[in-house]
Amino acid sequence: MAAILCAILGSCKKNSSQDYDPSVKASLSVEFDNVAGSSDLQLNTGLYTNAAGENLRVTQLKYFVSNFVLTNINGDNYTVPQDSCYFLINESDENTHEPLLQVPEGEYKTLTFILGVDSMRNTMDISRRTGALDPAAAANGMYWGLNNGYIFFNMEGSSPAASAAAGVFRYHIGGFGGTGGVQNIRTIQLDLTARGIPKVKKGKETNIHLLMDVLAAFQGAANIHLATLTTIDDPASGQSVANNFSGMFRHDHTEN
Amino acid sequence: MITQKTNAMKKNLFLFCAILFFPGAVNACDICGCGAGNNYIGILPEFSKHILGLRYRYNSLFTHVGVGGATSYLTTREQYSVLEWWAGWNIGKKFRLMATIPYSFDEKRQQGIRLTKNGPGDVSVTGYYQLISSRKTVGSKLLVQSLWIGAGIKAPTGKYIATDRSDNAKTANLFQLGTGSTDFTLSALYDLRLQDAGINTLAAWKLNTTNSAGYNYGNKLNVTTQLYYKFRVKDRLTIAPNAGIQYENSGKDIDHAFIADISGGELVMGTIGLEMWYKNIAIGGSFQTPFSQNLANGIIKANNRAMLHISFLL
Repeated sequence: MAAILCAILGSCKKNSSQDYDPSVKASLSVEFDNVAGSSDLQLNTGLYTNAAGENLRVTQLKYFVSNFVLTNINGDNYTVPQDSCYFLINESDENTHEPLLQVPEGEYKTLTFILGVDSMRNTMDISRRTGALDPAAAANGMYWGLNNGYIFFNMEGSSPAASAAAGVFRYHIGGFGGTGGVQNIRTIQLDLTARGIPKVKKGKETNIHLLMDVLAAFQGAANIHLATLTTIDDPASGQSVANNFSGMFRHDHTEN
Repeated sequence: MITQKTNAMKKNLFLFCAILFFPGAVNACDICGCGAGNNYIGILPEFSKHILGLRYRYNSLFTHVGVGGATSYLTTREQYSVLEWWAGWNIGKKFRLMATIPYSFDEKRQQGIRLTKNGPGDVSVTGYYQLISSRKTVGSKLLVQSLWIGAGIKAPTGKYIATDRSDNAKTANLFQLGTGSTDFTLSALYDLRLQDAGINTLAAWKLNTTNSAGYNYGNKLNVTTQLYYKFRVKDRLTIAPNAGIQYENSGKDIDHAFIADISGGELVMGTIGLEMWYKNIAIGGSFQTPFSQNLANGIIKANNRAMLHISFLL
């Protein structure tokens, strides 16, 4: 009878009796799934069209994500310790697609991170820039040298529109505010509530699945034309693309 | 001669009056009903002793719909067809037992990849009791009303594969043949008819339990109202077009004490259908289209549904 009543009243919500212990750290992965519009990104073979109507293929895609902050459902922020929070996403290496974080148990409503490398770290001694940041190893090709610092976003490909450069486009976008003062670091903040919040608890796997749309780099604040902007290899010329960065990321779902 | 004709007329009149409407099983496929569960079953002819039917139900939906309703490469089209035997037995005048034995054909397609799952679904048995049965004359017309209440049980005869849950974790946990749990239904059916025109209302609740893999599908509510009119063509053929509206509501699933965010929601569907009887054979069909929906925060989108049946009054 109670079951009938509560079904009728619609007030019979099943309870999830989950207890989180914020003093316990648990695993949370953030997956960067690179796509091109409504297609999964295929290096070399996929043919795509940007907002300006130009056809293109992507041959290389690498970018830094760092300084992750998670806001729990009570509004408290957790900043992942910075030393363990620099990741280089490389489309051609699947092992780099899911940075693994250790965060307190709980449920989180907002994910914030930097696309790029913060200016402090750019200027730190080489001994503090190891792992993904090592210019002689993992970050090879992602570093301009001391004054210009790291290349945050590196996309190369081919396009008939890039006729000025024999059909090849190279977008190397960086700039931490060093020489020339151009600052292309962008903070990405994503609401996680609409598509399912991560429920982090020790002993279970939780994955925030993001989609990163390369075609969104060509639209947003301004449409980018490969015909007129074919090669970017310094902070100043990368500003227009950097202004489109925030539109490239969206939260697709969470695997709990 | 005259007596014979009168008898035939009486018999027809009896059949005619007895054709009130009744739901098959109200608990249908709660998985492929995509959280909002409870497929529309259609309205069926009254029967004096037994009824046996074969029914085909079809529905499809998009899962993993992208942000703002966009299509992403993960967007999947899922299609659920069920072919089922169903049967009803009258026990005296006030009791009725109905059973359904489904066989499911599930299919999903994503980026040209097709996955299928076929097999027996969850069988169910429901008992009904007639609480109100009245008929009186209003002016020159007959006013008939009836109220049935029912309680049922659904057994986990369809296969629930726990490891598929992790594949399904990206989206709703729908691609299963059964819930894996023993579930219960409560229902009420009210029919009011003035001569040939009637209104038929069904309300059903499905109360799901936690299966052995620790997954608990959300409880489901289904309310359907339909208007119908019966035309008699020649002597023994009755044609009853019907149209109505269905509301489905589903609670969130619970997966090992965690609420599954990508589940639950509500759906309003418009329904049109046609039922026909000739002698002791009934044939019917219906088509449903979503009027409004909010399933799993928009991550699931229901498409049209259809149903066809052939039934024998024994």
